[in-house]
Amino acid sequence: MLYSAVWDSFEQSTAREGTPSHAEVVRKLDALTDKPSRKVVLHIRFPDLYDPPLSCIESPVTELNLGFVKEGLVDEWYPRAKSCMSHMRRIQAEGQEGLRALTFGRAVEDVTGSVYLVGWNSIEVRVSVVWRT
Amino acid sequence: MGTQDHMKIGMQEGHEIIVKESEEIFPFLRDLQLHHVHFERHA
Repeated sequence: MLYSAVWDSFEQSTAREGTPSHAEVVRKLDALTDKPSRKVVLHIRFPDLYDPPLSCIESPVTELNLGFVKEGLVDEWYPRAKSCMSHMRRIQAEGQEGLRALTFGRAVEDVTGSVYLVGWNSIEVRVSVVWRT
Repeated sequence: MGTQDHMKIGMQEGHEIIVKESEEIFPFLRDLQLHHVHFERHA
């Protein structure tokens, strides 16, 4: 299960965490999961450089990649991720069928955490472009 | 909130970009979760 909320600012989200209604939402969500202790809560900042995350979330299918970088590779990881995003943006600009929006963001709480979101028209959409660096 | 439909796109024939991209990315990661999600709106 994935629960997603989009905020204008990190401060707005953290301010809500002290409210009774937030506690009630958390209680209900925990009741739906078999192992609440394995729950992962992250705030992700998505730069304006890419598509708005809502465009990905509002697509019929959202591809979600949640990754955590190995110790000591963080500095190398983000230039690589940026390069991957540039490649995907070129594919998008060329009119890749079924690809609606994509974005990449970094976790506020964990420097090793990042999220890659893609909005697709359907789960069956075919991507036949060969990756080239 | 939504349901997950794991890995279907990546496993389908012809999705070479995902395989190649993964080869570039996997060496950096200690953990990766890939999900395909249908989001439902809740008031």
